[in-house]
Order: sequence, then C-alpha cells, then structure tokens
Amino acid sequence: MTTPAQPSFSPARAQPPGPQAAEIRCYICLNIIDTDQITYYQRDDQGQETKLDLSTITDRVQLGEVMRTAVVHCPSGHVLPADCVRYEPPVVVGLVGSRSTGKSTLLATMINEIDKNGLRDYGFRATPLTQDRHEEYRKGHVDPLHRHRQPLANTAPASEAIDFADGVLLIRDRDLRQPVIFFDVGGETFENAADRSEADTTRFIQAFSALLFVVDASRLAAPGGYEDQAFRIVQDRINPKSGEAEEYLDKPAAIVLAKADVLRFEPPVARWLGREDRARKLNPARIREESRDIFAFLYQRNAEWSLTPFDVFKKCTLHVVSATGSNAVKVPSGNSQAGGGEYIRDLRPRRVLEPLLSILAMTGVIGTSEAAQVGR
Amino acid sequence: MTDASGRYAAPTSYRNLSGQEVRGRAFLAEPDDPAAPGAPFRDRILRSTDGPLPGVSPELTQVIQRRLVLPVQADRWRNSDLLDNEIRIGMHLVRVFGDGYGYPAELSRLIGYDIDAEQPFVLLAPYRGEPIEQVVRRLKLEQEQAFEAGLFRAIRLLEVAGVVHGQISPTTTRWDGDEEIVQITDFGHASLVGEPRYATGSAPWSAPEQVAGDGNADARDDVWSAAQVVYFVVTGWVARGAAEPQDPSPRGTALRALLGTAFAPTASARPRSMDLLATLKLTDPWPSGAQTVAPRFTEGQRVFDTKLADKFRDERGRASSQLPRRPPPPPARTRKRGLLGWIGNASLLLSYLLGSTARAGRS
Repeated sequence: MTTPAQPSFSPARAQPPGPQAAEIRCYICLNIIDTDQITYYQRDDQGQETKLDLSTITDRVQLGEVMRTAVVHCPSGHVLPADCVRYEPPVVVGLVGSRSTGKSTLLATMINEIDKNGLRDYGFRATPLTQDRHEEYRKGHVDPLHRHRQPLANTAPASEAIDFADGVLLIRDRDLRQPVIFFDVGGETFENAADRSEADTTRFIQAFSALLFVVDASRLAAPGGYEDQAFRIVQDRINPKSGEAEEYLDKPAAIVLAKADVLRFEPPVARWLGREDRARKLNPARIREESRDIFAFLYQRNAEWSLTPFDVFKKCTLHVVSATGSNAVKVPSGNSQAGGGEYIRDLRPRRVLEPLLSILAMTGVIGTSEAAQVGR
Repeated sequence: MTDASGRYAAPTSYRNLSGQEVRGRAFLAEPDDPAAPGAPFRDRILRSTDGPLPGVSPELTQVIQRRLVLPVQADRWRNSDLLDNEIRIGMHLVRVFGDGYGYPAELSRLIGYDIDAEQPFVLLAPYRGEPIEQVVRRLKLEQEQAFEAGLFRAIRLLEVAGVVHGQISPTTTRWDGDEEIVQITDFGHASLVGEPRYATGSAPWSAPEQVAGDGNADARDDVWSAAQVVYFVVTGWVARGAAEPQDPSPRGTALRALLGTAFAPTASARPRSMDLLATLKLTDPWPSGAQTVAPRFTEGQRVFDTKLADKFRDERGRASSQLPRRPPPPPARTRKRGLLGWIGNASLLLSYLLGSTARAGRS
C-alpha cells in the first residue's frame, strides 16, 4: 500500500499538526479571521505589500525567513503579523495603569529578560514575533534603559494601545508555538472615565486574553498615597449595590506592585522581593502565598482600589516586582527636564517575569497540573 | 570623596526610620575600625558637631556608620543585600520595641540609613561594652551567671520580635560588665521567623540547619548559638564542627547538663529561650509579648482567604460530591416514601392542630 505523497510542510499551519486551533481574532477589532482562506503578504520597508504565493517556496528555511516578515489582513483591514495566525491564538497581554506607573519600564525589562533566555528554566525558548518590531522596540525602550541606564520617558499617548508594543514567540520542544503580544494600555486612555461608554470598557477587557494591572509603589509610599483612574475599567464591572463582581470574568489577571524596591524594607515586600525562585519551577502554593501577602499589604495601605481586579477576574494573582532595583536617578545639573538623567546604580531587575509566568499558567500555555492550580 | 584628613567624607544627610530625610548635619569621622580582608563593610564612629541627632531618644551625639564598600565583588548583590537586611530587620525591631527609652539594650539599634549615597550606609547607636572575645574565661563566677542570663534574655527578646539572628557568635556578642548586659549586634544575616534559611554562618556558632540552608528560620537556631557562646565564654572550649563542646572538666560537664538539649542538631528538639531562663529562675523580660504583624495586614489576609474561597466555592461543592468515599444517594423509592412520609406526617399534624383547635373551642 502506498501512502499518498505528502507536502514537506504546510504553509498555513506550522508543524506539528495539533488539534484544530480555537478561532483566531484580530486583537485590534476582535473580528474573526478565517484561517482556512488566508492570504499572506510580504511587507517591505516602505510599507508596500505584495501578495505571497507560498506554493512556489519549497525550502523550509526559506519559508521561515519569508514568514518572519509576512503579514495578513483581518476582515476590517488591520495588518497583523503572519505568526499570529499560523500557530495557537496569541496570548494578548494588556498592561494597565496610568502614565509613569512604571509600566513601560516593566515591559522593557520583561522583554529584555525574555531575550536573555529568562524563560528557559520553565521550558520555553523565545524568539521575536516580528523582527522589525522587536528591533524598533529594543532601540526605543530596552537599550536606553538596560544598556545606557536611562530612565524611560513617559509613553506618548498616541502610541498606547493602537498596536502592540512587542511580541515574542514561545517555543517549547516540538509541541508548542505560542505567540505572546504585549500592549501598553495607559494614561490618557483612562483619563476621561466619565466619557467612556460601557461598550468601550467591555471592548478593552475583551480585546486582551490577560491583563496586568500595575500599581506604582513609589506613589503608594508618598504621603497620602494615590488612586489610579485606569483601574476604573474594572471598577465599572462591579455591582454598586453588593460591591461584588456581577460575575467573575474567566480570563486571568495579575496585579503587579511595580517599583517595589522603594518599599523593600516593608516586611511583606522584603519577604517576596528578595526571594529568588531557587527551584525555578512553577509553584502554585508559593504564588498563592505571595498573592495573599501582597493583597494584605495593599489592603493595609488603604489601596483597596488596586484590589478591584481581584473581585472581577476569577483567576487573579498578585506580585511584587522591581524592574530596575532602585529608584535613584542622577540628573545632570542644569537639566530640569523630567525623564533625563541616569540610574545611579547598576540595574537589578527582580522577579519581573513572575507575573508573566503566572499568566502563562492561568491561560493554559503551561499545561501542567501545577499550572492549573495557579490563581486558585 | 575624601575630606582633609584623607578619610571618606562624613555624610551630611541620612534617612530616619520614618523614611524622612534628615539634612544639614555635620559629623567628624573617626578612622575606620580594622576590618578583615574581604569584609563587606567598614565601620567607624561619627561624632555630631551640631548637637544631638534630632528625634532620637535617649540623646545621641555619636553614631556608628557602617558603609558598604564598593565596587562590589563577583556575587555583586550579596553585600548590598546584607546592608538592606540590616535596615529591614533594624526597622522591624524598632517597630516592635519602639524607638525611645523602651528599646532593649540587649539588641543593637538602627538610627538611620542612606542607600542612595555613593557608599550606602546605615547609622547605628553606639554599641555597649566590648566583644566577648576579650572576656573569655576572664569573668568571675557571678559575672558568668549574669552573662548567661543576659544572653538568654537577649535571645528571648529576639524571639518576642520574631527575629532569628542566625549568626550569634563571639564576634556578634558584646559584654557590658558595668551594667551586666549582653548585647547582640550585626543583623545582616538575620531573618524573620518562618522565612526560608539561606546557607550562611559556620559551625559551631551557627546551627546545623542554618549552615546548610535547610527549612525555615526558627527561634531555636539562636538557642544553639547562645549555648555555644555561653560554653565558650565560661570554659574557653569550642565545639569541633556541629556538635556539643566537650570540656571534660566538672565545670564543662555541669554546664552541658544545664544547657540540656540546646545542642540538639534539629531546632525542634531544642529548648526555647524561656526554658533556659527558667533553669536560671528568671522571668520573661518582655512578658506582654509583642505585635509583630500589623492587625490590618492580618485582616487583609483574611479578606483574601474569604474572597478566594468564595470564587471557587461552586467548584469545590461539585468536586466534593464526586468523591467516591461518600455513600451513594438513597434510592428513589426511599425518597418518595420519605416524601409521602412527610406529607403523611404533615397531614397528621394538621389534623391534630385542627382537632386541638376544635377541642379548645369546645372547652
């Protein structure tokens, strides 16, 4: 019996052919993309697109090269990287918080740690999702911070939430190719909470597969504390009468106390910030303990506004992180501009990948039985 | 940044324990204390030239400055972490015992710090007495007993505060002969009870589990160390490795008997500091205990537990009904009978009530 000739690869789906993927949506407008009838385009430096005819490419390596810069269109015309439709549906992570909460610094540090193979011990290799986007992001955010120790200027409002900041493709052995893309959802988007319709609020939550809510420890530590209007996006989902969520949302969230180095002498922060994960293994009990302590700490500091995501998202973990290890910035004399200067100390990122690992567990990307317990 | 005498310039500002900056201070710096090669810190005395330090009672006109020596070595953050820990534990002790006259003399006291300076530092109240290395086997008998009592009192205070020092040894213990007080210093390696042990210290001064970095910090780690130090001061004998010291003289034997199981290899087998104080017929130096955790923090933990349980309550209910251990539900027949039985009972009750009403009406 002869087996029919198999093509050596399948352009629309990467190897190996797994279970049929769940529907793939455009992460900008949420329209469904029909992955059976997809057209790939090659995009050049000037933004000109030419249709790709994949049947002419017979070499696997060449296919890989072509695909790295290929794009597809969603029904509304949004342009997406090809890798977002070739593999598992992307995990779309939105970082939520007003300007200067440290979101951008945190994201730049997370990307840097991933680039340095920070997820290797958890079984993942990572490559950039799109080369040019990643290079742009490194040039604009990661290198100024981690090579030149320059604090990042506040993110320009126009660049927030229109398209993703950067993305990675997580690769695990033979069985997984998982795109993860990060959005920096920030300040101005939430400044006019009263003007925002319920539909807008819902869209923001729907667009993301996971949300990272960033709390600024340095503002928390200042006299009088603070309250972040950006968290109102979840506050709006809470039933005002009972103070409880109308129903728990099924997608995961993480509340992240960023710049935690500022509060590192406070017992709960000290306990977790200094605790490097010696085992380098996902430990749901430890994650629950940390969540409990950070929840209690924010509660103790009367920052209950920062805990509202816990009431809205069924699986929600809490973490302390420090992207830079210290807040001490030396501003050259005569320079009064905010955002200038240089960090005095070498940067020392601490625990920056913990929230992402928690999210990868809660979304099922890490599919172990321990991972299933994270957030419970 | 050196001053006229070639010393590293004295600071002009620092942060107090409330986190506020104290500025415009003037200090004269003494020369650094001699330091072992590779030591992470340099200690020296700073004398204030413009009066006592603000907000500190009892008044202080001089402090110890402990500076982190930079550049840091290969394990680049280890020494920074030691300084951070001095601050964290020092702040905790002041929170527990208060920062006024009530702060126990038995423990060194943090006054301030600056982690953003070119050479980060902490400021400590001047130490009492002298390192005990200088009084080994030179204490009179009554002083020996006072020493034992003083050291047991000191570790009891640590236990009250929920702090495990982890490296009580002849270099971190001091004896004030005039006041007969033992003072414990150097909290760079200390932890709060329950935190995971990191492998630090060495035998025989640090307990075996501490040296190995196993398990979680336990107040009885310090009981081991205190027993070793007492033994050393009284007899001059040091145990070889992680064991009981073996002075064969009657003194040594008697002391081993007094200390009992303080030399047990695992913390759980050792007596508590209160047990040791009781053998000397002494009372608790801090009987009211101490609140080591803010009540609102504990409340927050409870809120978390309740909310988490609520979130998954349905699932837990469903899951428990699938447990095989539970008896199977009663067969339908029985239940129907039960229902009929209930109806039957209800109608009996009803007829009784009607009857009794009728009876009441009649009488």
